[in-house]
Amino acid sequence: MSALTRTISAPLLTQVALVALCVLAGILVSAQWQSRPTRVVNPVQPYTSLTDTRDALAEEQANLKAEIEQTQKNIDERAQALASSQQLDSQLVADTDQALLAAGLVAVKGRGVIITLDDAPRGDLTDQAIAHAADLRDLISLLRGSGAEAISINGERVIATTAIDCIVNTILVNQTRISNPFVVTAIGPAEELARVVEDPQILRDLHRRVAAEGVIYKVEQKSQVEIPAFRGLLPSIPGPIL
Amino acid sequence: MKLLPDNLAPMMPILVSGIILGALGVWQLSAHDRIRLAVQPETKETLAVEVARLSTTNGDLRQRLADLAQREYSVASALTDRQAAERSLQEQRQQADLLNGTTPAIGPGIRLVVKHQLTITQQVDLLNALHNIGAAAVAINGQRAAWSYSPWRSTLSAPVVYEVLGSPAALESALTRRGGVIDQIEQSGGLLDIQISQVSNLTLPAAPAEEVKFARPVERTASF
Repeated sequence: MSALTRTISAPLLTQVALVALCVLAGILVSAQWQSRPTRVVNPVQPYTSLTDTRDALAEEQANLKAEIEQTQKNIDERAQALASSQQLDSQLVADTDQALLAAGLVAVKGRGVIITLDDAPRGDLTDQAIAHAADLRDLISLLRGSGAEAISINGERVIATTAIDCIVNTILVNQTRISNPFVVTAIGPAEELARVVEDPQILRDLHRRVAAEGVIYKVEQKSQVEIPAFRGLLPSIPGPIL
Repeated sequence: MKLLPDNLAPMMPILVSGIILGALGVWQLSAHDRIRLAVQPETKETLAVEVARLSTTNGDLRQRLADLAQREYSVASALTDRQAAERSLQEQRQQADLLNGTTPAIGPGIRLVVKHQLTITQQVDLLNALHNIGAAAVAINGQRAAWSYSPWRSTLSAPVVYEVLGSPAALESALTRRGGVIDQIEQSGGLLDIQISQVSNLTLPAAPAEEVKFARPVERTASF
């Protein structure tokens, strides 16, 4: 009796196994058939195109911000000439200066702290071992409530309406892409600012991850730091709804 | 010596076929994952969102640059016009006051009542989201949330009323959309009891002016 004949006359269990195998074979063949593209498609092309577009827009944004900064400087110079030539009300000028200073619309310097936040340098880059936008939000909020008068993140000035956002693994500050390491500079009472951001009972999750996962978190007090003026979009109140 | 018992020998072709088909099935599945990683569809979506945001932001920055160019022209023209100079100064002052929260702010917006107690980090995220959506000013339980306001230093108990100046429809839509901040807060801590109402005319009170003691201008200001 041949092997095929012995197989055909085998018990029912064997026949069921044979049927199951044939069904599986059929499924695999059909899956393979369906995954064949009907047209030749280059999956890499749209990805490359988007990357190029993103990079071009980011460069355009940097150029626009540089132009805004230069135009603002030109206005400042003309304004100084104007103030002296027109003999404007000195109190009005002083009050405006102070308001602009508090609002983040001028570059400032003073005592403060520099905080560096970065991903863990070694080991697996898990979710717990990287610096998040949420960490920056918590840090900035804590600094604002602890006496910081001016703050920047990687050179981006933080103002009252600044949003810190993330799209998957990209962090945006004032809609500007920033990358790690994240350097937070703050002007204010340096000792108090350092104390609150180093207190493990306040930013608990961050301090836990620093200790357990190796997230980099360094705090330095400085006698003088500089923070640039805000160069992004200013908020405006929408018009009345009729 | 027999390698296999008699009752197993007839099943050998079936067993071998099963092993081969199983291996092919696993290879098919892993090939799908390899193709997905090579194309990086998640990264394509991320890039698309980034490109859209950058495009919008750059458009707004071009508008700001155009406004500043206009102001530069006005300041140059105002060298012989004192009234124009003072007007320009007042405009800058108003913008700064809005950011500082030192004058009342009036306009359309939303009123958001959160009846569920939020954690500090949830409050931070909610405020951040409001600004990200475009809130021009915020008051919390009737107090203007100015620069120094921080959930880390406040003791808010539910219910908390947020009054937010901005486009009412855009604010409500962005807050309540799937994946928005309310959705995210709910996913981390259960259902929120939130009420949102669009208001055509909100008045947010002024906050006291905050003294600047440590920061000094790098250059003389008087920016017009």
